[in-house]
Amino acid sequence: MSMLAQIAYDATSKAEAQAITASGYAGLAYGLATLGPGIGIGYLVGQSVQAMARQPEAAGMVRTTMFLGIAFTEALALIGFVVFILLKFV
Amino acid sequence: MIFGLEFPPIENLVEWPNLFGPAESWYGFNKIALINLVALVATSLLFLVAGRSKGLVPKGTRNLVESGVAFIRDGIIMETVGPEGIRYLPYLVSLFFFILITNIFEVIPFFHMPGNARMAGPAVLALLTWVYFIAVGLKHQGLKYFWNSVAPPGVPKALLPLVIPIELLSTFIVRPFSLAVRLFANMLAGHILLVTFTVLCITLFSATLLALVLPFSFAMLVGLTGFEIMVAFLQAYIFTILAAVYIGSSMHAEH
Amino acid sequence: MLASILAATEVVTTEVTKVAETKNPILPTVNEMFWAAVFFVLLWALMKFVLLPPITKVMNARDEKVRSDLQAAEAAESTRASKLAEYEAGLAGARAEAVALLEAARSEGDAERRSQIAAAEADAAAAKAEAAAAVADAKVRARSELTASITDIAVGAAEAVVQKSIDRAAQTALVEDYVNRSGSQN
Repeated sequence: MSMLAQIAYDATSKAEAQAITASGYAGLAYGLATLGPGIGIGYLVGQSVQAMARQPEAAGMVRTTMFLGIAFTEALALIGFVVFILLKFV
Repeated sequence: MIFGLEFPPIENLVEWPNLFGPAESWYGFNKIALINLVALVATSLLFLVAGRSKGLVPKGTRNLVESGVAFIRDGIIMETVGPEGIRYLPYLVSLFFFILITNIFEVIPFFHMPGNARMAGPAVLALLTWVYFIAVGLKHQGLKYFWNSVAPPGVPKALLPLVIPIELLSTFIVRPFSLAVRLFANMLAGHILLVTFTVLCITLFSATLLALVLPFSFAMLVGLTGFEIMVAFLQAYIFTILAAVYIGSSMHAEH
Repeated sequence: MLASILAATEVVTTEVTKVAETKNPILPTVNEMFWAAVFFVLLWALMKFVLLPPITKVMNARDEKVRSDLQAAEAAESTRASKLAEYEAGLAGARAEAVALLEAARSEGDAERRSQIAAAEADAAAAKAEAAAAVADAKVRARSELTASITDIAVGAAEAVVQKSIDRAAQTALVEDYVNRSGSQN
């Protein structure tokens, strides 16, 4: 069986071996891509909650701006996710 | 294959055969197109039923539709554009309801597929929004719009060679791209998450000791379903509010 | 053995080519874009011309009604406030009038009393002056009578003593001087 696997591995082309390696690193790429946005969104929401607690009458405006900020910050993580899909499945 | 867990390839999750029309044609009508059609019909029916009820006191369907419209008018347009943005209400209401309904199909039985987990829908909407905010800019500022948007007033002349490419990239390329990718990737990620837990539940549904983990896995699946409903709503909101912000920013030169 | 290995290789290569042929799951497909564009633009047009106008019309009517009701309530409130102010002003006016009347009556009475007191005082003063004049008159008359009688007595006594008539005028001056001196002494 292991001999079969060895033969199968040898039969794959160089490009295919590269694809397998890329697929292995895809998870790592996505994990790294979550770090920054995770910290960013946490900080953003924390500060927004603080702002709402200090000035409850401005809560509506703060919430809208918070969602905008989350959308912009989150885009990085989502691009990481797209790169992950590209590496893993393409 | 881990413990007999067999995850389906991704094209089985997101690609659908045509219901009619040849396989590779430009008009092949598949499940995604059906979801878009349902979004059109459901929104139209909702608004028609709501529009037919009379009286100043809203109730039932009318209440639902009116709270949606009021949410977009007061929560999105008034907060980002101001009173002069009311004329963009039809576009933003259509965006919101179209995206919301195509997203919500992620948790509707027998569909279980968000229409926006394919790049096509978000790409079309983002392109339309791109054309729309450029058109609004041209209408309000004329051809100066392009210059105003790449070179914000008040920037020192020495910095212009640095600022112009950055602004050009961020306004005309990154905006539609991130708009589309944000919606698409959120829905695809949610879809994959739900599929993962569903496959896990199916695999754990066996006569082995692993069945002990099944309740937790199933509870997680139920919780994630609720979470995805929230994400569907949130992504519709974010797409609409970003479209409103982009349209509003092209109405006047930045200060 | 060799045949099975070859077969395995073949299976692997076909698998590989199948993997390479799979479509990119991220790129949009033309047919889905077409239908999404058709349905969305249709929804947009419907929304703009058919679906949204009745909704916004009723919403605006309601907003207008709420605003007018609010304005009516504000107007009623302001009329109420102005009426209250008017009433209070009337009340204050009446009170001021009453105070003024009271004040006028009091001052009138005061003036009356003061004038009566003044008249009485003037009467008293006149009576006093009359009395004083009478007293002074009596005094003068008494004094002159006294002077005359004293002069008579003194002149008669002196004539009796010296047996000849005495210059009456000089004696009168003398006596008068004495009377005056004694009058001033007591």
